[in-house]
Amino acid sequence: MLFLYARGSDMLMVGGKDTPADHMIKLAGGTNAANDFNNFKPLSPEAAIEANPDVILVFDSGLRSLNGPEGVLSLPGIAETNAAKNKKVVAMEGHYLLGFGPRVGKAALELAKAIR
Amino acid sequence: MELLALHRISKDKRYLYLGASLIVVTIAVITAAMIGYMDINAIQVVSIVSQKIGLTNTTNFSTNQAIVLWNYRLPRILMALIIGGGLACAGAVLQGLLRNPLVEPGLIGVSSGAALFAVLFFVLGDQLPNSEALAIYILPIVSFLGAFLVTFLVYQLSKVNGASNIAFLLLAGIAINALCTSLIGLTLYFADDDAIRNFTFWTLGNLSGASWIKVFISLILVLIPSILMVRYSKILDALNIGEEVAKQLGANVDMAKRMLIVLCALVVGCSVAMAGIIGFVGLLVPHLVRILIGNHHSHVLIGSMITGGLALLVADTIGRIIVAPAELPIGIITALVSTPFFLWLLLKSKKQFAF
Repeated sequence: MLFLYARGSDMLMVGGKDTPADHMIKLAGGTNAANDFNNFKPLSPEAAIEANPDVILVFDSGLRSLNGPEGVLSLPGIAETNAAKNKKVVAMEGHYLLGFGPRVGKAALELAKAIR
Repeated sequence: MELLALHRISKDKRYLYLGASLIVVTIAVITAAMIGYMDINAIQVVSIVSQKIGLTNTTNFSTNQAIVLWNYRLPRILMALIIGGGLACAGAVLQGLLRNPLVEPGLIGVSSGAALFAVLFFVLGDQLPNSEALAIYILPIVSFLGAFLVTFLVYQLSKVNGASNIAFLLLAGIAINALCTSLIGLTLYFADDDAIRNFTFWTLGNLSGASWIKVFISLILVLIPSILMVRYSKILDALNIGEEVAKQLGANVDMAKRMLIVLCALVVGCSVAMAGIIGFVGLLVPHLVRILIGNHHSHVLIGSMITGGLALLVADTIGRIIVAPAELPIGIITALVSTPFFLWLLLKSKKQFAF
């Protein structure tokens, strides 16, 4: 699974190791496909193809900035991954997904169900 | 340029340079295809390409390697070659046409004219019933219109008693450049977030959006006009002696001028539409070529095409790997790498002219 922080198609960051996204993916029982760097890094098509995630995780605001799931799955590099083949995009509200507040358990459960 | 005209170079040396530059381009293409986040070695590069064009059917590479090379690296390499060559060629033509060594598409406002129209298209484009697919084809045309208008305007403004005056040309160009930049700023002030982010792409230049469709479009709208320009090299040579002399030699100067301006606008406009504003290639490469292979326009134009493509490819490859997995905008690299090189060349040729 790959977390994309998107603000339009020219501003795409991938959540690497030790990011809130990484921890939330682990909590939900998934594996972060971007595991060779810390922090957030810009999406590189080649790295995305190499990582080949099964699911793309985005904020719902990110989903809107890319004009829906089709927009996400046609991004350079993402279009060639398993996620695009299986049309698997999960979008959740930003504070709910990565706020790590009282709703953290609920969010993790929801994410776990969505990727099952 | 008058000084450089004294610099004669033998025919043998010229062919040596051309041959050598073609070999260097080939090496650069293969190297650029190998370097990147994903490792692909030279043998794999060759076998992926030969499989894609249906020559062989080897399996010494993975599917992902083939996707990365064919869908991302190769179109990008070709775009760099075509656009770099086109910009350098347009720069050489403008320098010859306006008889001014300082002229460059970016300097006299041609690029910013193209960018202004592109930005207007981005901001106002939302109101038009268009799709992303359509934008790929319309954007080059819109940018061409911008580039053409600015070139025409600057040229007309610079006319004193019917002939283009160099001082007026530069001043008018710089003024129009500033005007376009401020109009872009004004447009963006009223634009939304997405349009502004798209715009950062335009100001620094970027080849990361390369695709085979764009390669195809730039083949038609950049490479072919560049080759057509070479046809006018004799007239450009004659123009170097002076407009009146050129006319007395029987050249249809006015017709040639108009054609060349349209061709330059086409090349620059389409390049800006495809890759944003890439500076310095159009200014430096023709000078480099003149120092290396002499001053005849047919040589300068062809040499600029090859060298410009090579320069942009090298700059793009550096930009691709230097901060991997992120990318540095190509405009930063071209300025950073080429200006010291140009200054070095300048100092070197200065020594030759000293007694």
